[in-house]
Amino acid sequence: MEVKEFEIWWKIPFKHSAGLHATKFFEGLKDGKILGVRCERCGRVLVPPRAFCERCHVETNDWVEVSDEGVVETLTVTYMKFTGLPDPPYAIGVVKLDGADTGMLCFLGGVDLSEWRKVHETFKPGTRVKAVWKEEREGKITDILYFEPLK
Amino acid sequence: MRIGIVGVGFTEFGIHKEPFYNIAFTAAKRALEDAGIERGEVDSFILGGYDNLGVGRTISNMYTAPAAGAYLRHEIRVSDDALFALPLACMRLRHRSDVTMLLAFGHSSETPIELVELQSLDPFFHRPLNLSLPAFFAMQSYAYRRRYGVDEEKIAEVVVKERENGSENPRAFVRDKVRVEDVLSSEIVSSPLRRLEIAEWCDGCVAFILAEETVARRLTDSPVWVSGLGWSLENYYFDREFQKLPFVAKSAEMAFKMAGKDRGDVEALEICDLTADYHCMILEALGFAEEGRGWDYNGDVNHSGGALCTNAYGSTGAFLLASIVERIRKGEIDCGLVQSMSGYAQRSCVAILEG
Repeated sequence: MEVKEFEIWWKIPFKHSAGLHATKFFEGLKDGKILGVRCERCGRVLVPPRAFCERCHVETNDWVEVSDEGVVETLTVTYMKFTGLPDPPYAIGVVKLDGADTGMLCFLGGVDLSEWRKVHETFKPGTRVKAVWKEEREGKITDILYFEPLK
Repeated sequence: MRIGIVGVGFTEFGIHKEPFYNIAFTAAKRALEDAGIERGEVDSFILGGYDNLGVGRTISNMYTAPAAGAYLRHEIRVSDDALFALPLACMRLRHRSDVTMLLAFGHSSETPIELVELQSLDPFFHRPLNLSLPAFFAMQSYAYRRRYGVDEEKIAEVVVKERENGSENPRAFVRDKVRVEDVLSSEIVSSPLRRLEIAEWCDGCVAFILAEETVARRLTDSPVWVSGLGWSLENYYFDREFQKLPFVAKSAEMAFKMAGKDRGDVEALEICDLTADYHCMILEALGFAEEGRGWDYNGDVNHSGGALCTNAYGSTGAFLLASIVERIRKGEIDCGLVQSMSGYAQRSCVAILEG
């Protein structure tokens, strides 16, 4: 006997409160600024900002603006299509911005993504990159369209 | 007081047509039978496996309570890879439980797990960037290969070896051997990771019966003792050294300290190699290989084929644990180490077992 299958989709709306730290960061993005917080104990500048430093377990309220330029730490280009995820290829990387002590997850772009080895060569760790901003910003992480190699 | 594993019940690891709780029931029954006890003799039930949307029900591990035989009984759950439930089972046995069942469920075939795991990410900074699990794994692989100059061939050889082991394990999900050229010609999923370098999802359950020392010795002549346990956590933001797994190292340190053993005492390892690169990185973090040289390790590792051959979402660690337990029971080894990890390489658990 063929076992019966039921197809079910989940669609549940959420209104996630971003909290004050993330809100300040997103308001900064609207103005083309990237904000972080400095941990008063370890001195690290955390980007994106968060309300406490998980290493030191202390509150963080010392706001600093960091650059929209930085260096690539690692990357990947996705070529496989996954249900519910964008059509490939797309490149994701971790960039440590000038003035920050933590890497930030971001898209990488501005180059042809069809050959992964070339993309990895272009963005190899240590490569200097700069943010390409959306023209009409709405206060979301995707206001930074991607980082591209610094010309 | 020592704690021993006195019964193990496997189901098949594959793509199941029955719902996960029915498969879990089979594992529970087989474990009871293996231990030679009735369900009524179990006084505590620990349920391991993800409670996320992997099976499309929230608190999904709750469904395995009746399957374990926990109706109107003392039951508690660990929402993680099921190896993380072993510490809780042992804690329970140290505090007024004589016989505990650990039931591990793993199920992935009803939905795209990549989409489920994506929902675990922060909705403000990370999820909008569509960082799938394979994409994150790939960022670590790239950092690892580049930092240590590891050739693709070396990584492919790890897959070949794992597949050879899996081909000889009738319990493994993937049992086809592959050659280096097969690995290197398989498609790129997320660069530099290729399809054959990533563990494939499957379904399957394992149950264990554990007992405190006196009861364990009464139930069997060959209990497998849980000598050491350790677990640790990475951060949730992605500010890490991507070529390393410090939380795996921490979990191992804790387990070795508890067991009062060192690396030289361990005769075999089962590690959660969700990718071929993780195979190397885990061996390094556990202290069995030098940094950047995990691919060169030729000790007894993943006799079962590892996660690269059997990766049931939620019970992978339990599968690896059961594989070590079986070898100790057969007398092939006296002491083994099991490691599992979960999430976006965020948590690690290590157990040291001995006969």
